[in-house]
Amino acid sequence: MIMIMQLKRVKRVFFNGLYFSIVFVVAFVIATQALTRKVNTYEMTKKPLFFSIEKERMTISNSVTGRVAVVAVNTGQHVQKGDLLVRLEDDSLDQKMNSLSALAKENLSAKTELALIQAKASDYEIVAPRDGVVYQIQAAEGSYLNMNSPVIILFADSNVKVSGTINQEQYMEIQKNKDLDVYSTRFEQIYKISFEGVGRVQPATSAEESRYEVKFRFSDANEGAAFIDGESMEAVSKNTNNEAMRPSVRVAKLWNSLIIGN
Amino acid sequence: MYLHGKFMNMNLKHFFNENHITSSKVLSTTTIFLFAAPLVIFLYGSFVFNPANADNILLYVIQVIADVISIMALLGLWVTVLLDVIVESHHRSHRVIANSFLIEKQPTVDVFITTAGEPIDIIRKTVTAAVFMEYPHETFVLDDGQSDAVKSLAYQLGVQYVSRNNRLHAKAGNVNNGLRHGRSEFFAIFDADQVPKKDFIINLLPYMNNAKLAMVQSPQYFANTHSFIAAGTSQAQEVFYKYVCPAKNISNSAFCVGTNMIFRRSAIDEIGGIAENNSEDIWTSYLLHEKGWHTLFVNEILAIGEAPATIVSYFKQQRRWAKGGLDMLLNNNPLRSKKLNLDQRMQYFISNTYFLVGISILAYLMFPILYLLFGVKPLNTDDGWSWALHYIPYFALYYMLSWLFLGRLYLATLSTAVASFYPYILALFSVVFETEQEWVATTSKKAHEDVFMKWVWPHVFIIILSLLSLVVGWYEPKNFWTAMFNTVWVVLNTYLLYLFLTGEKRMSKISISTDY
Repeated sequence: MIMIMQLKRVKRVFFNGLYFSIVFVVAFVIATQALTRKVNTYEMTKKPLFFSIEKERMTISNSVTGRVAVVAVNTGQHVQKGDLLVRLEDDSLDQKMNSLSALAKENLSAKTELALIQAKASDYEIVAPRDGVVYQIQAAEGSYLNMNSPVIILFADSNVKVSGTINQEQYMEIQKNKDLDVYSTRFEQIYKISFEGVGRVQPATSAEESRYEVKFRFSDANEGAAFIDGESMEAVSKNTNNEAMRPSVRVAKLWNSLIIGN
Repeated sequence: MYLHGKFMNMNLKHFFNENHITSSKVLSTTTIFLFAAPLVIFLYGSFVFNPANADNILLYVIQVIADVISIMALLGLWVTVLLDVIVESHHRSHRVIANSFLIEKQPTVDVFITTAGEPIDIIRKTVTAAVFMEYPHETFVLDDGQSDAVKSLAYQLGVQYVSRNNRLHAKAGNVNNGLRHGRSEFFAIFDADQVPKKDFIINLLPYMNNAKLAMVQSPQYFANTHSFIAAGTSQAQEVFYKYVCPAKNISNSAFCVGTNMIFRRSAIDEIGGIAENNSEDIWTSYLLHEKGWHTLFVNEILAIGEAPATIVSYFKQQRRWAKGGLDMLLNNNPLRSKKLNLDQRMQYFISNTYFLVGISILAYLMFPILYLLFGVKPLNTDDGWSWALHYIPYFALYYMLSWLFLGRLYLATLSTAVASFYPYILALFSVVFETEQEWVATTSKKAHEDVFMKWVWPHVFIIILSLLSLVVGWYEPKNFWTAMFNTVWVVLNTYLLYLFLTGEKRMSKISISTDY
């Protein structure tokens, strides 16, 4: 009788223990999964996020055929709107002009033709259409250029964009708050940029999450001029306080403060 | 019958003393509830049911379902209490001084005590009290436990012993079996742990003067409130008997609670005996109402019972009640009944849907844990203050219900209410998938032999997960205040569940006066 009672008790203890272990293990597995997921997300989102400067590239071509007489600028030089970049020459046209100018006093048609050619002469002087920086010169002095060949490539000062690729979570964040701070290591300064639009969206696959190509402009339009095309800027997280510190760093800091007392 | 003559000479006046559970005065806090509830529900509903506030869509759908259920339960209570307060006439439970009925008609009464394996001491107390009730009556012990001890007890006390060789239809079958032996015009039913007072019959039987009345029900009152779980249970019951049951008198939909009532034999015969299923109480009343009979709830303590003091017995009792209500709701929706009037349909519907709150409680328990673990939430709570403004009053109202209705707030009540999601959901499952369960009486010995963890594993699981979720949630919280709020919520729930799980061993601080 006592044996049976004890057996029953042992059985009860066993089943209670079994239920408890199962419940505990399941809860533990769920929590571990959750923590792993959270740590991974954290590591991913806390990776520094770089954007790059995208300046507007202006390719300046010639509208007339001719020989390059003068290249007035050097690569990297800052030019202003209207500055002379390149002057072309056309010998046959010069000769024709000379002969025509001789004839022009008597012959009305020659005079008209001369006026037309002179009006065209401005095409032989290539000037900067906007403020900018000379990126490439594709004409050497003395070389002969066909019509519509690229002569100079400029980066415009105005209309500077900041572009980058972000994940969905970051995209949602940006959608909510259109402004973002970026840090330039070269100038050691924070700039404000604001969201302009999204370009290509790469949908999520099993291996990768979705990516958004986004563009920003400088909140202060004049600030962009100082940058070089392709220069990188680091996005600054809104909460750059303690909360965004890496857990390992935080533990280390706490430990240090305990040991060193600071 | 020899008692008759003695009875005739008695002055009946002193039997009809005031014996109400509480005074009929309405608490000022109850009036607060009446004003605040619609406001708070509107405030909460306007936030939750606005799809613009949805965050995770799956959780949002669950939240909306949970909220619909909990709001329905709260509105049901509101309507009931409102009726209670504004309709004066019924509030004193139709007291009739109809002793002439007893003296002139001399109706006969049987008393049935149903037993199914309860401890013999408890049965002895009940049977003795039943025998010594005033007014002549015949007492029957209906024993489903086939116990020799009960049999010899019956012979000792000189009462009839009725047993049967099966346990078909549990208590209903037991009573119907007893009805074959009883011959009286009226019969009372007591559970084995419900000790009737001397004046039980004298107080209730005069109402039967109304020939349309099929049942008079008196409340269950629990004396063992020193134990934590019993205290929690009995407080919830108190709200039920103080407000809900009297209000049902207005629409003639007071229903039987399974014990402490007197039935008219002819009415029960008309519906073919006590309804034979596991929740015979609500079904019997339902069938009576369909036949056009009247029922009455009399708010006087006329029997002292024992609330379930262990978790397993509490859960089994709750599951049995829930199963009855949900079974009626899903298989025989009272709203569609053609024989009941609109009020009655509403009242049955409110009573039955209450047991769905298990879903709501589980959802409310899980949401903060899910947020801390996975960062998913049903509602967009980024606009913290606007959200808190809508959210906090609603849950404060729910947590304060026992204060609003009874004027006092005990952790035991909250704790047992939160923990009872499991038996309700079990009942829902067993109704939906039509699985059978063995009926076990609240205080019977068998209830203790079960494996404890089988009944509380969801609670243990939630507690463990809550503690772990705190660790996960505070690893780089995305939003400090959301994490904070969810933490408070999780800690509170965990504490309540912990109190419940350890409640069997803890004595309650409540001491409801027992000067009956």
